[in-house]
Amino acid sequence: MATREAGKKMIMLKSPDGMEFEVEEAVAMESQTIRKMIEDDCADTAILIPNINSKILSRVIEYCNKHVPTTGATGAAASDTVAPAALAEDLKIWDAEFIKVNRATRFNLIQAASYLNIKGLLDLTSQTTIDTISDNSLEEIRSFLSTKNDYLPEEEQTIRRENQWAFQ
Amino acid sequence: MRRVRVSSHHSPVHKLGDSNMKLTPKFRLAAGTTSSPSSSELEQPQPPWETPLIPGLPDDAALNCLLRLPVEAHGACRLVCRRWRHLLADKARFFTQRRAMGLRSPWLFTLAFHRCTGKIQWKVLDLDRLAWHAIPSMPCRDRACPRGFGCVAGGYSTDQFELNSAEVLDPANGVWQPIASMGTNMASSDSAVIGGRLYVTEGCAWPFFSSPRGQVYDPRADRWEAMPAGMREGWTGQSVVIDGRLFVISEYERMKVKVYDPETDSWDPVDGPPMPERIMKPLSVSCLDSKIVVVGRGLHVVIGHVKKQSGGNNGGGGGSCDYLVRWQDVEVPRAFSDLTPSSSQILHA
Repeated sequence: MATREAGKKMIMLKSPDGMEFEVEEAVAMESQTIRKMIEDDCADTAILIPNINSKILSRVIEYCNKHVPTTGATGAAASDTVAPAALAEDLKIWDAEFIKVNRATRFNLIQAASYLNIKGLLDLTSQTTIDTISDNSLEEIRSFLSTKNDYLPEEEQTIRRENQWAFQ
Repeated sequence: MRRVRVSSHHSPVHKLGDSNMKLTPKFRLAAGTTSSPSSSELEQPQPPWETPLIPGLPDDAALNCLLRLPVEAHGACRLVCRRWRHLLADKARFFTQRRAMGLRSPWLFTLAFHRCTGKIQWKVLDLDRLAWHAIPSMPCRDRACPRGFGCVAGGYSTDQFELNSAEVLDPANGVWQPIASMGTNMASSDSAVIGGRLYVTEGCAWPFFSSPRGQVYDPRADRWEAMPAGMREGWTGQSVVIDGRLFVISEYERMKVKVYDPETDSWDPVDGPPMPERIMKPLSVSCLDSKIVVVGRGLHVVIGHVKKQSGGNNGGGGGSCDYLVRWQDVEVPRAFSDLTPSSSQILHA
């Protein structure tokens, strides 16, 4: 709440467990849900984010902070010397670190990204989940996602033999 | 946007999987605008599932995850539980739902024929994961005529033909309409759309008796005009349009990719190494964003990443070229060594 840079509007985000996060409007608007609220003038100063606890919300804000398009606010503005490819590469490495979380946290992040409609975060969290399972064995997938096998043993055999249509 | 087709025969363009499909003359759709039209099957109302798709996630979020499962994992994942099987067992449903979720990734469909048997088949390359897939063989008995042979014999055969008619498809109502005649008969070899105009060339073909003819169609005026001489002479291969510029990949010489400069009506070589040597003709070339995807004999694939060079300032009066290409190899199964590409097309699904 100290001095703010001129021209930067701040938004207060509240989690249901009572924490408050002050973020730049541009950062908050990485979320299409919040963007819509701001544009519809539904957001005065504080927005309550239901269903997302402070731990997850702080991580979401961390993500948005990193991914908000830089508009050359700092002294060393993003000039031509910084190849966009290198920047994208940096972000990728940062994302890979960011998503190193346990399953429960990742699922919470997926839900938060889905509710707040942050496409980049949703892509990252969903894709990572799929990447972790797609190379695993059936049993590993079942145990990782705690899905329940509801096949009868003979059914399972039939499906194993099933003629696999396209793309093998 | 309008789509222009140049053709001498009037059957409708076949959809993938059409049982009557034949190796029709090359057709090409504007890159990036295509998506396979799904049969407008109304989903049978599925009785509500008792189990979640993924425990701990709401179904829509879980679906958003599972629709990213690479197709090579579908077989194993169908065994996870009944609900997963319902989602993964039907590719049409899977890809329809992907589209509804706004998930799209590029697939390179290559129509190839076997060198010895002439049997034609589709091979599909997942351009995101660079993994090859097979799709069911077409119930079609026709053999393909190798494209290269028609030229070597000195004439134009099956897939090169003289024509003077052209039609345009208006996607708004899906009707092909004839447009102004070109006024001359031409064997269409390659075409490109740049800046809303259609460029058609006859292409340089061995034994180079005559220089190729070329025409330009302007849809606003509904008129054909002659192609600039430099463009016509230098259009010695298959083209892609990147960044509003025409790039040509030649299969007759081991030469660099070149780019057409409309201001000087000349061609500049694109900087960077030549195409890897294992890419041998006949080539099939397509384009994805700023990437050139080249399929050669044996379905060897390279992806050329085209970049605008930062060095050449805006002026760029002569000197070095503005573009740089870097080639990326794609692994190909050994079993494809006898396959020759006939045409390829990138679809998003």
